[in-house]
Amino acid sequence: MATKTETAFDYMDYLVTAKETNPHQQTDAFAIVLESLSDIRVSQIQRGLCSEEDIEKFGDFLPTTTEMFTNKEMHPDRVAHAHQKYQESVKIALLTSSMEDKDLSNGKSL
Amino acid sequence: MDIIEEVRNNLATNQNLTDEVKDKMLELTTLFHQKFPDVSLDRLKEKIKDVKLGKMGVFERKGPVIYDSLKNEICFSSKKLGEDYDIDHLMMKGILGMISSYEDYYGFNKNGSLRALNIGYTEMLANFLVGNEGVCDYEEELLATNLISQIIGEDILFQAYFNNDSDIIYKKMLEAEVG
Repeated sequence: MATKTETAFDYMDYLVTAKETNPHQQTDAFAIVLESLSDIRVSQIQRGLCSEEDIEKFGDFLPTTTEMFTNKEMHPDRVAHAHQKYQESVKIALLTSSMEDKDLSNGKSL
Repeated sequence: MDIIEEVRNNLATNQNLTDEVKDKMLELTTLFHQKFPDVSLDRLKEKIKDVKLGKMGVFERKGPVIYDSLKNEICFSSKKLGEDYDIDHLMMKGILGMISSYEDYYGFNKNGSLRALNIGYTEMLANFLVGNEGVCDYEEELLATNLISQIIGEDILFQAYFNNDSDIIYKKMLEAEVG
């Protein structure tokens, strides 16, 4: 089974190809990329590798992010869509994780 | 001799470019060097002696601009030149191509692997250096690259890009994924 890393990079590269040959498949490819990257980030969160501030910043797609590199011309609709997809992915991943923890603490096997 | 002086002298010998284009390339190279003085310009210094500007084929859709390392040519889309693109932004991406390409590598894109990440990171660098007052064709790649820079660290991407090291990208991403 492909790792999340492989999936993310494969679909990122497919996204570039889709723009050149099948533009209608861009949205699906981008959604898969975001979900894969979100899962990786959630894994870091669960392992305690991120601070609360890091978690906040990761969801900040907007051009006004404090990061060094910004694009002032990013289309707001696309940014909003990407942000929403990211938040949904993180929510699901964290919810799944807390349900698993609850089952373990109740002595149930997964 | 100062590296920018070497670039200037080598540009002067280039028979393929107009004086206007030479001035712009020198301006952008100088700007890059001021922002990133520790990044070597040795490759660009050599390539700039005979770099050409060209046009992509009519049916090629590889974005508004690409740098072809094999031909040492900055190619612009023949379809998109009339659209609302920021020429400084496009030319800076050509400059970044000359700085970061080596044999099979363009930044950390080797033989098409990590192509999108490389596109996104080049876009980021160009944005940082000269901004972008025009159309951006790679917003998704930019967003994804920004997320990846937060997962593994922007410094990792920077080192990988200018040292043509795609392995470190995979290594750090897999570490982030599974620990």
